[in-house]
Amino acid sequence: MANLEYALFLGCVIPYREVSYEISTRRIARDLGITLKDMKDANCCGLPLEAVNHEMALALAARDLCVAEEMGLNIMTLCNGCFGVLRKTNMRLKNDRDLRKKVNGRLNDIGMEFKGKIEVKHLVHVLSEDIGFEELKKFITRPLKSLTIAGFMGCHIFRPSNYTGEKNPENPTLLNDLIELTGAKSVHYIDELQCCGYLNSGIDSRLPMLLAREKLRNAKEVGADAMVTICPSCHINFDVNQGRIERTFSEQYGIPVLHYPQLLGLAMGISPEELDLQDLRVKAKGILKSVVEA
Amino acid sequence: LPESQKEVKEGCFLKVDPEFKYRILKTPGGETFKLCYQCGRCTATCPIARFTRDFRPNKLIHMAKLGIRDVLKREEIWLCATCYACTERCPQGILVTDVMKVLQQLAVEEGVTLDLHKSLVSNVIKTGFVNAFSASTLKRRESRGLPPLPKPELEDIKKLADATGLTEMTE
Repeated sequence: MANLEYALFLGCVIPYREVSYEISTRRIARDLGITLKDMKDANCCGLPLEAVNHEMALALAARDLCVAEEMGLNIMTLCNGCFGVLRKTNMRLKNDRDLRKKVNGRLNDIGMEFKGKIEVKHLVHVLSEDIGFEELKKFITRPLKSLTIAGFMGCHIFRPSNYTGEKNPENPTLLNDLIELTGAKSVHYIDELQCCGYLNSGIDSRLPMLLAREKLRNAKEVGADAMVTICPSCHINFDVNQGRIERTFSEQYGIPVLHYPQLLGLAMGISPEELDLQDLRVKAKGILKSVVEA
Repeated sequence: LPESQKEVKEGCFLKVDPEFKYRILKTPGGETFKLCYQCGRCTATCPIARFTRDFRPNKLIHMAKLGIRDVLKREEIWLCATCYACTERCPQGILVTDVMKVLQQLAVEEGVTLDLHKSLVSNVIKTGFVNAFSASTLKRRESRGLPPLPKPELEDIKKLADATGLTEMTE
């Protein structure tokens, strides 16, 4: 097993609106023996600026990579967006000498240099690659056999595949496998790999609602007790906005949406309170009851 | 081309700028856009196209190729959700999502700014993050036993913002 010490990159969305994702991650990390070091000097990953100023987006991402290099640790992100942009920038700077020279010119002014010494991973990679499924199985003390879960990958975790390294971008199985690991049944549904549309909320708030509504409907149709996400933005769209979607379209979904570490934590026997499940907008009482009773 | 030919006289239906495509090709992310042969797979796979009348990535690319610079003024260029489904599936290997981002950046260069961007940019310069964290957020973190949030060296951020032209956007 690899050395399980990482520089934790929180990004903007999680501390702002999705603290339960951070709390549950830190909690399972403790039991799994993952050491998370805070990146005290980190800044925004740069993704939101890509549409405005490509150069600044690149500089911000490069600066984050340098901060982790100075710590001598690989980065672990929890957000798909942060993962995508940091992974892409890391790869481009490692492989494109001209670009690296240009970016290092800028970084030189702030006393930093990109050396290309680290890797960028998402929590799901740390679990599946660095720890591995065989090892993870040993931690499952309360298999969630009664649950049917609809996983939602999000986008930047596997697209574009030339940066993310996903070998099967038309049918990625990672989240599916991670859900089955907990003993729950993982179900497929229409458009499960399609975007949740969250990024549009600042431009046209109608669009993310329409996109999320479809997935909620499709997940419900295949009998999902809950959805599971691995990105704070997707989570906001399905959980925080679910009430708004229900009111807007006069529909009822009532589907709890868990962060993956919350699901894994339950299967590891950790209490719902410690995993901050009470913080979800759509309460997970129903599924918790079946977990505890089983 | 002589200046007079670059822009068709006013009153004409479309203004055409033959140089426009070169501007896209030169902007990082736009290099692949001329390979488009209008198969429309990007639009067929686009979740936003399904729910809007106007967002059609292949159409936007076609307009740009023809030199219709007014494409930058169209609101729909901002609707891309950056899901990369089109990029993943383009048979010509065009980085369609990146091309959309290039159109957005060129629009910004031409003076189009959205309110959203103003707050985003000023927050990044002021705090290093796109969200400005309130005192109550920070206090709540502390009460829940979470470590303090990162505090990037703001002098660094300012230098980078100056060097990349981001600071100018706030002026």
